[in-house]
Amino acid sequence: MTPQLSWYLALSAVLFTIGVVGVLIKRNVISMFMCIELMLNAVNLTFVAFSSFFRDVSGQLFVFIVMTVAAAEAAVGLGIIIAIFRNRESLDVDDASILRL
Amino acid sequence: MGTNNLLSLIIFAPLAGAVINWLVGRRLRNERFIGVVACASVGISTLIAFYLAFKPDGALRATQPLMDHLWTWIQVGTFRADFGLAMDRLSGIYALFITFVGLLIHIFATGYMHGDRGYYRFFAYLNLFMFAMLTLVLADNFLLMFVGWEGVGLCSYLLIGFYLDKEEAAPAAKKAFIANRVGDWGFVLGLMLIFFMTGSISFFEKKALGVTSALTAIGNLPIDGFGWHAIFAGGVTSIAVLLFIGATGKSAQIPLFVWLPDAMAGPTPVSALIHAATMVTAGVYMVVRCSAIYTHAPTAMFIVAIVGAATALFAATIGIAQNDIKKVLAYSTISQLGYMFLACGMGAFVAAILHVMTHAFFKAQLFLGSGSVIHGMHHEQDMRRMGGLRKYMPITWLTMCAGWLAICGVPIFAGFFSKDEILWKTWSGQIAGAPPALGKALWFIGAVTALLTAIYMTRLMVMTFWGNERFREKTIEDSHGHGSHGAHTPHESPWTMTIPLIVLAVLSTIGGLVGVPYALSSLTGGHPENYFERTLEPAVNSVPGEETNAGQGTAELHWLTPPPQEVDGKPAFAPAKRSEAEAVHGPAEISQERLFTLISIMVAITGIGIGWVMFQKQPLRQMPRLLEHKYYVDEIYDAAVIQPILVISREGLWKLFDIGVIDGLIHSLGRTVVNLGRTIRHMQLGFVRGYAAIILAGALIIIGYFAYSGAHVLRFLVK
Amino acid sequence: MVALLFILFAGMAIGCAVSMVAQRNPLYGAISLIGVFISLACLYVTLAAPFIAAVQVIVYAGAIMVLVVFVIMLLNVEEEERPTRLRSLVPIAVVLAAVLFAEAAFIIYFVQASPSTPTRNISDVGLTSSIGAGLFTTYLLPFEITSILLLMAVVGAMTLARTGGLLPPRAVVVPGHQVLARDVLDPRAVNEPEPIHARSTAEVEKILGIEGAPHVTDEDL
Repeated sequence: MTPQLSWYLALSAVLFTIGVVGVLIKRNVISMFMCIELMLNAVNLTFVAFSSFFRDVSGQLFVFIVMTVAAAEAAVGLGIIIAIFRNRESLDVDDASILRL
Repeated sequence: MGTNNLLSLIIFAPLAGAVINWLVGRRLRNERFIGVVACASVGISTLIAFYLAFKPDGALRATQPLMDHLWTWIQVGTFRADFGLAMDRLSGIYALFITFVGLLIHIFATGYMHGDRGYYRFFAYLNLFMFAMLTLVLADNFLLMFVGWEGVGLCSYLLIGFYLDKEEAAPAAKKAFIANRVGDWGFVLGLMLIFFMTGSISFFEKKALGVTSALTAIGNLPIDGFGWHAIFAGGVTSIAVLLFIGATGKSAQIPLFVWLPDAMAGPTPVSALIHAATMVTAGVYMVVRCSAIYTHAPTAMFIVAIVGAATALFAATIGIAQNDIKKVLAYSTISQLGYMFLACGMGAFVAAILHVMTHAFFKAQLFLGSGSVIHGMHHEQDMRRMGGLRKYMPITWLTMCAGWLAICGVPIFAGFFSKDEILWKTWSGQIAGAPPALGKALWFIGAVTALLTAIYMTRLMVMTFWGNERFREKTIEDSHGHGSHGAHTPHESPWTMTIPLIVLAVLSTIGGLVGVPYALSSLTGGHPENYFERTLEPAVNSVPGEETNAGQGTAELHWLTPPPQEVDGKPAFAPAKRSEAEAVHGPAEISQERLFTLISIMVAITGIGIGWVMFQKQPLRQMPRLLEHKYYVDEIYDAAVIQPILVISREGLWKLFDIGVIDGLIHSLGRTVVNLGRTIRHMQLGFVRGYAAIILAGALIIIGYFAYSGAHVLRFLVK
Repeated sequence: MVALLFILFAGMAIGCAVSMVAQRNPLYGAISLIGVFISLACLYVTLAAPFIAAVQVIVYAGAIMVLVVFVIMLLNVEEEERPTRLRSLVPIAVVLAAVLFAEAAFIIYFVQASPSTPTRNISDVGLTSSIGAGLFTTYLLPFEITSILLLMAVVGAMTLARTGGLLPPRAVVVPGHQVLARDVLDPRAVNEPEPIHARSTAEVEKILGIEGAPHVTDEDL
């Protein structure tokens, strides 16, 4: 049988969930970042699936934009990570815990 | 029944003396000033009391009491309690000897307390006591009497604990107050029950003010049955028993007598005044005042008689083994109070009051004499270290002999007439519903007690005044651990102390002659009147069966003695009518009474003889240890009552409830808030991952909401 | 047939994703992520979106992941140790993720059961020409804004890469020979032409003569 829409959506949900778990569990900043990328990709898959099944191109265009934004975000984000690393010599996100009351 | 303002002066003069001594005497610290103020205020009371009692239409002559309504204290609904005084015959007699003996003791105390730093305090308290006691006897309703009742308890506490540096004084004071308080529980319940039953708590009827007499109301009720059920039925017997519980506390009967021996830690004038002459007789006053209640409650009278007799015997057995001179007298007081209650229980209220009066004389005499001895021995109280004092303190010795003979019941001394009357009335008395042999059994107990009384009093006199001068020896075993005061020679006391002793000795000798019973007075062929009985008889109810009318005899006079003949001088009264009770004094009765008088004399002389023989040669004879340790009553009370209460209070009420529940509630409230804060704090620790988790949680909630609400729409789209 | 492919690629995607989360070494995680991207690209192909598939591989796997790997290598990231703080977050994360998946499943069920959901995907909108047509007509504005976004990203990255002023106390001078203008580090030396050659903060401090100076620490902030 052909894969149904729900299959793709389920896969996307699973990938998204795994990404969420990773964000909460990982202590290395770069690992966290990569999990966020995973979450973005899961959403991309959803968009493409819907676009394919409903024969609407705007889904894929959206994916295009998302990818661009992800690229920009990667660049800036990694720059910030390097700046923090310079400051603290540690990539443990738990060490950056002074933003509190 | 006129309003009489002098009456209020009787109680307010000592109060004024107390206030002046407290405020002014404290500044001046002049012993003469304080002493004069104190004695003068009591002197004023004495003069007024004598005037009001003996004037032609005074309290002892008139048929209605002298009343003085000062103000309406409480009036709530049907409940009314006035601050009103009333001097009728009973309270008149009491007021007379309270003020007079009180005056003598005040004078004595000015000498005894000389040099004490708390001189002003002592006399302020003593005057306050006189105020409270006079309020007690002159009150015209139960509530005001209770005010005086509590007041004497308070003053007793203050005065027992007077010596601030004596270690045993404060616990003794507390014990006295608490034991009194336990009794007061019964008194108050009885008071409430009286109000509940009769709607009034006044002794006398005051038509002008609309006040009815509770006693008259109870007097009109039928007599209660005899038996256990009557005590708990909530009727007259319950009232009587509850009031008696109050009397056991105040007058040191079983089971609440334990405070009186410890109260000897106070100064000797206090022991004389409060714990011999006045406060402890308040219980007897109350019972006699409520004679209407008791004569209608035979079960209560039974209880009163049994408790009185038991206490008399019990205390006498302890008294013969005590070594402290004041303790012997304390147990003697308890024993004599037992006699008074025995008389009340058997219906001989007049005899009880006579014994109250004579006891006041000779017991005050004995206490003051012992105070003189203690003073002369430089505050040595142990009889084992006295001896042969009659050479050094002759006045004290002679006066104490008078008291000694009086208490033993030797004829014409005061105690003889009253004690003999009690014993006779016990033998011949009846309580409705009780076994007829009760009187005989109680008489026997009374006779044994009289024997023991004579023995221990003789022991006291012998150890103190005769024999070797043991105070010179240093070898006597000493429980205090310091050497004996053998170097000091005892000296006689100053005139301030010996004059009252002499006066009281005279009273102890002739004071009983007002109450000579008919059986004996008819022997002499002289004035065959029992003045005392005639005076007091109308004021108290008689035991049912002896008279046909119930209620207070305020309208008519009842004669138990034959009407006075005109032998020498007119009698004070005009006879009203003879009652059928005259048959009591028929010839058979009279000869029986004379026989019993003889037996009483024999008992007294035997007791003195036994005491003399046992102790003259061997004054330090060891008495049974059980008696010396007072049957371990205090230890038993401590273990059975006090320790459980302490444990329950400390462990249960304090630790468990106060700290555990109440404090725990508050603390848990605080802890909850702290824990809540601690939990919520975790939301913002600064960890990025934590923040991410919280964001995710919030997002899930929102998504969940939309998913749930959206499902309604989607449901319709599903095939 | 397509189902088989789907299962294959889906399994690979999930496997690589789990591997990425489970790996302690971030480099291995990066490589796993590349695996995810490749399998997702294959899935896109099965969904008749070849352009997106190509872009996915080129941009994600080819550019972004390269950048990430560069940074990992640059910073010499070590293996992650067992967590000592916030240990309770692991079970909480699992619980939250489960709730999330449950809600997603709930929605997916209704999506599947809805009659307007098509069951077959025969689409022709994934071709490059259709994407291009949409991109430059209907969606022109987002396109332009995206380019500005990229510009912002470039500027931001350059700004972040600069260092200026006195070195913060815990800063580590990136290894390699550093030549810094003197007055960048020491405001007192305005007209001094001699630059500073240093390899680490300690060396800079020694040259400036501020060895024992108190350092601002995290706690003070």
